[in-house]
Amino acid sequence: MLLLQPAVQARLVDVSELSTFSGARIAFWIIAAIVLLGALATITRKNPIAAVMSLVATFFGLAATYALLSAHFLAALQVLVYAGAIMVLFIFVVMVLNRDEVEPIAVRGAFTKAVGVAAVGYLVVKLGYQLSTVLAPMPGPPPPEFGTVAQVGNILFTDYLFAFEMVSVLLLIAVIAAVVVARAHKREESPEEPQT
Amino acid sequence: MSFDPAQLAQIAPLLVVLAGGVFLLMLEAFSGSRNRSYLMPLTVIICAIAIGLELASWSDAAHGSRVIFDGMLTADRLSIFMDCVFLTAAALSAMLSAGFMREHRFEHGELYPLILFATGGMMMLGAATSLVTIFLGIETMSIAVYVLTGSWRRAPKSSEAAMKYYLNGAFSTAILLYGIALVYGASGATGLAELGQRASVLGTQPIFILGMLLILVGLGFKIAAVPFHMWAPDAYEGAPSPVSAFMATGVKAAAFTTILRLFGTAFARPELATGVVGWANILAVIAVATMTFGNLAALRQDNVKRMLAYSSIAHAGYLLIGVVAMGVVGVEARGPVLYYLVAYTFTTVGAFGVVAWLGNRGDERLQIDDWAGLASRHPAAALAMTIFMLSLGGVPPTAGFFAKFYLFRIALESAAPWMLILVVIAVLNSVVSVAYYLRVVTAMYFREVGREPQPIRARGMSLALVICAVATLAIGILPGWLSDLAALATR
Repeated sequence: MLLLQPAVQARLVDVSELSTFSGARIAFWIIAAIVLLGALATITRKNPIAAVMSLVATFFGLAATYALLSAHFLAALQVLVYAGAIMVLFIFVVMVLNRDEVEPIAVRGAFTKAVGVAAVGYLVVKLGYQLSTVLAPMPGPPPPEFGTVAQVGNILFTDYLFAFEMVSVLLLIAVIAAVVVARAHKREESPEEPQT
Repeated sequence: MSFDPAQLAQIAPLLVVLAGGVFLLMLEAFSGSRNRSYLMPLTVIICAIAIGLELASWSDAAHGSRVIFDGMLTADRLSIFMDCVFLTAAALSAMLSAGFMREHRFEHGELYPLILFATGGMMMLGAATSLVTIFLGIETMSIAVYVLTGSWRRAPKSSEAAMKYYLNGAFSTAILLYGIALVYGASGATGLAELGQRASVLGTQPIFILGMLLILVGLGFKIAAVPFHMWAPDAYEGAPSPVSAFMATGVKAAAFTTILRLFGTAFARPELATGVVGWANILAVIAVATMTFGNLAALRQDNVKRMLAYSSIAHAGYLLIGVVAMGVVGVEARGPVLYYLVAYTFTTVGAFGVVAWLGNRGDERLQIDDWAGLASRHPAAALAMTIFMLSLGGVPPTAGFFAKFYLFRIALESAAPWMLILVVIAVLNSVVSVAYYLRVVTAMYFREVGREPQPIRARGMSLALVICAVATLAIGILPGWLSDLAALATR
């Protein structure tokens, strides 16, 4: 978390000084458009593969955003983990399930739709207003070594070592959970369970 | 700051529980024997060792809280107190599980380690003073409990419960994480103490408030507060009864500890608590909705386990009054909440325990008609259930009475008129709740036996029920020492 903090500040610089032109700013808006359009397509496409591929666009866009924020290591991870590994999993699941194309959002009834549209509209207006007011220019570009593998590793294995280790406990539990859920039913029904 | 291995000593109980989980897992995998009866005593012993370590550090914690790992965790009396509650709930649930799983033929070796891992997550949550560790603790706890919920593979309801719990849990995690991201984005801090300081500069900045409210919603799912309770009745009913007991007590107590810490330190400023969109105001409305809905829904249930599920929702509503009181009168309102959690833990584990005990070989006796005439066949169990029901309803001399008494008293201390209204609604709700609790008691004592009860015979189960019943009575008859302890734990 701490390692992202200067990144947040860098973003604030980018968006708040829009009057001045620079390559980074133009790139930011193009990338932002890709991220948002990809996300929109993800939830509106009926074809699951199309939805998943749109999500890839969003993930790549996010990776590019990280790169713009000088978090190059994070950008590489984003591409490797999300756009790579997790997307492959998504596509596997889509292929295995092989569902017909269905309406992605199953909202029925005029009233439900009206409430949904009103709620989303309210949220968008409110959030947009807040985001436009909250961004104040923050000083300075990040230090030159920011976002390098060395620095991320340094923070990860000192300040955040406990959290890092606990994530491995979490993953261990997830693995056990997957094994318990995926195990065949048969064994527990076998009659030679011990009598006590 | 670099990592200091000496700090590991301060989280020794957590390490014992996690290492114990791994140890049991390996032991079961390599023992080769199909007899798994040794796992339950080992689980209880691991919990007991951890409780012993916690108690040993109680006096050290008197000199103020010890901040560990750059503020990721804190070993203070609040965490020690709550860790003991989680460990007790885990040990009692394990004792109930052994007999239950053997009878219903799904005793697998992973279940005890999963209980320990879930407890480890709760302990992390109890000590967490950073948004990072809060999130990790919640996930560690939840993932283990999802699997426990679905562990009775042959019962379709168990899988259904696990699915609903998992989907709702994943959804609430996303909301919680979004809230954490917004709070971090607005403040640049993840430590709770640091957040509390920055909150004075940030004031009521909308992004910060929005993040805080999203975190509130995420935690609202975990404590099953209305309107985030939809998963709870199905999950509690479908899960194996000992697991329901664990979910209703451990998970809820852990989430409440986080709420107490988070809203007592990071968001403690008056304008955040009782401002226009202050969390105390919102929680007051949620508390009223939660207890009223829980009680009214419980009134209509013929299924005892489902009734207990709704009753557990109602109790989350009562507990929220204590959280609201914390926003108004300050951190001393934590004491009654802790007392309530202890009383509620023993009582609820006991009640679900009797439900688990009654029923055999894939046939759970959940309908109230199945309980008819239990007193004439099994007077001890009927007496225990009566104690639990009276305690849940808040009838003296049980633990539940003083729990509600202390809670309502601290709420009235604020002298705000709306707190008075809150307490009046809570008292009315308690009166309503007695009706459905007594329905079970009258069925057991004043009705003829319908189906002959064939309860599970397991020593661990009986022992757990005796412990719960004795503790419920003891806390109710001698409430002073526990309330003193709880008050100490909040300093």
